[in-house]
Amino acid sequence: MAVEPLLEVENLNVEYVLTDYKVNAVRNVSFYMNKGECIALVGESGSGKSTVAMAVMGLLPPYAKISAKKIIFDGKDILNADEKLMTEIRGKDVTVIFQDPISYLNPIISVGEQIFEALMAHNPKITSKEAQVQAIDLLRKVRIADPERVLRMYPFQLSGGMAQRVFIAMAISANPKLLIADEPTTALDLTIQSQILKLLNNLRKEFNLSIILITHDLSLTSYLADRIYVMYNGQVVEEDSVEGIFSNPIHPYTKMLILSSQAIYRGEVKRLREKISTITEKGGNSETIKGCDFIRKCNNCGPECEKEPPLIECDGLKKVRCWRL
Amino acid sequence: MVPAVIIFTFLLLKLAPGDPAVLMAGETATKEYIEMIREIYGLNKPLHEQLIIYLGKLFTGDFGYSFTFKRPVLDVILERVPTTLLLAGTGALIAIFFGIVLGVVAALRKDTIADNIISSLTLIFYSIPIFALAQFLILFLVINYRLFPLSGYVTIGVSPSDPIKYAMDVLWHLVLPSISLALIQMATYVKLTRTSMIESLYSNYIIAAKARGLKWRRILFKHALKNALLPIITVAGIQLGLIIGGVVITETIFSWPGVGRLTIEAIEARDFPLLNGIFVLTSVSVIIANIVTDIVYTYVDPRVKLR
Amino acid sequence: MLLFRRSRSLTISLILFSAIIFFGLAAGILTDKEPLRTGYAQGLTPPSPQFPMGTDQLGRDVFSWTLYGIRTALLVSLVSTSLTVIISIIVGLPAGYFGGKLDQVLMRVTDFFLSIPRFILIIFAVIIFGPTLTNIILILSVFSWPTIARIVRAEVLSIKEREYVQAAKVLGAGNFDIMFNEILPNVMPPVLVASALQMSDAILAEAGLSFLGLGDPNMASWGRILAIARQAIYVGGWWTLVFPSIFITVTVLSVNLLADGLNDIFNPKSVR
Repeated sequence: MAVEPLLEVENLNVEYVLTDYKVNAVRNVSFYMNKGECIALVGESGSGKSTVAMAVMGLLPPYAKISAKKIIFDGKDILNADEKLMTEIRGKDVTVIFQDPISYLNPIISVGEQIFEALMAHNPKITSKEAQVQAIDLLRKVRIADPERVLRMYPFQLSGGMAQRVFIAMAISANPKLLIADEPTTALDLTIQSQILKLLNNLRKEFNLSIILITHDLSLTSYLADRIYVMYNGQVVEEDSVEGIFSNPIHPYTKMLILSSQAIYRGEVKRLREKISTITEKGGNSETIKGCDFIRKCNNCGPECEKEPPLIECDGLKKVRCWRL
Repeated sequence: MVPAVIIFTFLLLKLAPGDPAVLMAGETATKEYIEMIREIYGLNKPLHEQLIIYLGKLFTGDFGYSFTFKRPVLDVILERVPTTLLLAGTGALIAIFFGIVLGVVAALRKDTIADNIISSLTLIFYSIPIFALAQFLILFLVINYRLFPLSGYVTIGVSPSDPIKYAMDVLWHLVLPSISLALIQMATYVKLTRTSMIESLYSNYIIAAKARGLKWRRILFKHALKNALLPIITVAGIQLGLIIGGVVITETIFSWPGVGRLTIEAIEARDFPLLNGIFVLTSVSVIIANIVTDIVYTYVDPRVKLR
Repeated sequence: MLLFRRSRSLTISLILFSAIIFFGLAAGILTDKEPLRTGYAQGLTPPSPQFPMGTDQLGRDVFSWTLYGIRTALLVSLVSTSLTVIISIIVGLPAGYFGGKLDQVLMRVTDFFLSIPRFILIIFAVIIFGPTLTNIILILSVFSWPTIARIVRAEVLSIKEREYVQAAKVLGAGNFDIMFNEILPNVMPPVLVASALQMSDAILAEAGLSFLGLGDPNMASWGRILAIARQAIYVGGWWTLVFPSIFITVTVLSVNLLADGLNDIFNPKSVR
């Protein structure tokens, strides 16, 4: 690589340790991203995709045990960073936007106050007049009409789409290098979804913002992402460029994902149901499965699948976690 | 609500066994006096007429005449109100302040030894009756160690002419009774703050605030605590009504000259007009307190006002 | 021990409560002295083998009083709480289920009871009707049911819309059937928790009344000996204060822990 990547994560493991049991939420996940890139972490709930992002940010609850070979952001080692450094980085260099933005805003404080607070956190000397001006400017950037009025409102008065825009405004207020978008559109109406995605794309171009998009909906990624990491049960099962994933999906799970998103759009739900019904569904903690995680749902496995496959490199950027290529 | 309370008192009084005129005039009254009472309150008239007379009198501030004190009931009660407010107010403030502090500490140190100790002590203080607690305080701090006075709110001989000495003396007398009241109430606030704070700390908006890089101190006070305090406002309002029994008992034990002790004196003397007046005024105060609490709540939580 | 892991509070509560009940029931065996009888000794005497908890100024045996006091406390609180629960269900269940006028009336009544100074009213009522055991139990019940009825109503409202209720309706079950077979069993858990708290309230209320001299004079109540203690502790009679206090605190504590424990069992996901 000619230029150093903006973010490098190697062998990340996250274990939730509770009094009664432990869960291995993320196992041996590695990824990287370059400045200006957008990568997508795609998977169903429980795949660990959100956990990965939260682990990088240091926002996991205290009962989460994180270990990794390295986590390097912008040249800094944040795996072993102390809380002081992390607080500095958060909001300024790396920001997050979440699913269901209204619940992520303080319900009893006005929108304006929360934006001012975000501005002051990274620019302590700012005066309230300047903050007002900047806040209005930010809200205009995220295409909110009538920003003065919105500043006076409270979170519960906002629509989902508006709240997400406000959130994005706060997120970019300090000109971050990296934006993590955790299911940003899942809680929103379809029409609003595309608006938000467009907004993110525009911001990306305007500010050379790098984005990690976390979603369960593969179809969203084709618009924004350059590269995709498909996650299943805490592991990366396939990684490739966007074109590579869509034109040449290799891992059975990736194929399933593509099938489900395509089928819905093409109205081929019936065929999809038939396909899926041939796959036996079984839940269970990954600890109880020996060998490849996908054994129970795969209709293409053989005797070698009793041993867990590593990520195997294929052409170009593609890596697949499967023996039977 | 207020009319309902007043009517209820009226009816309750009517239920008392015996001749109401005698009850109101006092057992030592003369026959003529009893007849006079009967006339004034129209006790021979039908019930609804009596009610109207009663309500009319209340409106003009005539709560009747206390035969034990030989003065109008309203005067007797109002005289004692400031001392009760001083005691109850101080007790409540101590309870709320330390309750919140301990609750926050317990929440932040959840599941550690500190948390367990606080929660256990809270539980014990919640279970001990106030008359037992107060007497333990007396046993140790008054009898054994002579640190505090036992009764009254001012030592004989100290007068308001020397305001500082007077105030200090009153404060000295105030310590034990208000602490007794406070310890009993504190438990509720500790428990509530702890639960509320924990819920608040695990909310989404706290995670988001952290993600924005806000300093932890700010998150704690401006976001977590502020939200956690909402239920405490409501509970404080309710507590005002519940603590009346405690006030009565505390004032009795410490001979604190307030409305609570007045109630006991009225009970012992079977001074029904006085009791009646106390009851109505207390109910009205509780209702007013609840209204004030509601107003404060709408001020703090915009969701209530604007929805 | 499985119970212990499930709920620490419940285990401790049951242990303490069983101990209390044991002492209460065994009072007759553990002591041969009558609780309220004077003259066992010449005035205030400290604890001794003959009087394990000493005597008061009139020579009454504190040990006997304390043990028989358990019976008073539990009797009053159990009966009044049971009555409260029954009334609350009878009123709250239809109010929540049918709504309408009954519901509105119930809400008004509970609002009323929340606004009044309950304790003073209870005192008032006891004076008017006379301080007997029956009266005290009835008065306590009358002043407690609105709070519980409100909880019943709230639960009914939330359960009413659930699928199994709708299912029963579709299958043709009558209203009373639904109320008692579907809704009532699911209403009980929070009601039980509230009742436990109500019970500890009742113990304290009865003791408070007795402390003020408004208890049934024929019952050995802890409140009354604690009133006697007021004078006794000045002349060194700490035993009149300490032992009854310990017993009443432990009893109330065990009932409060019972409420906590029940809450643990019924709401395992709630904040601990």
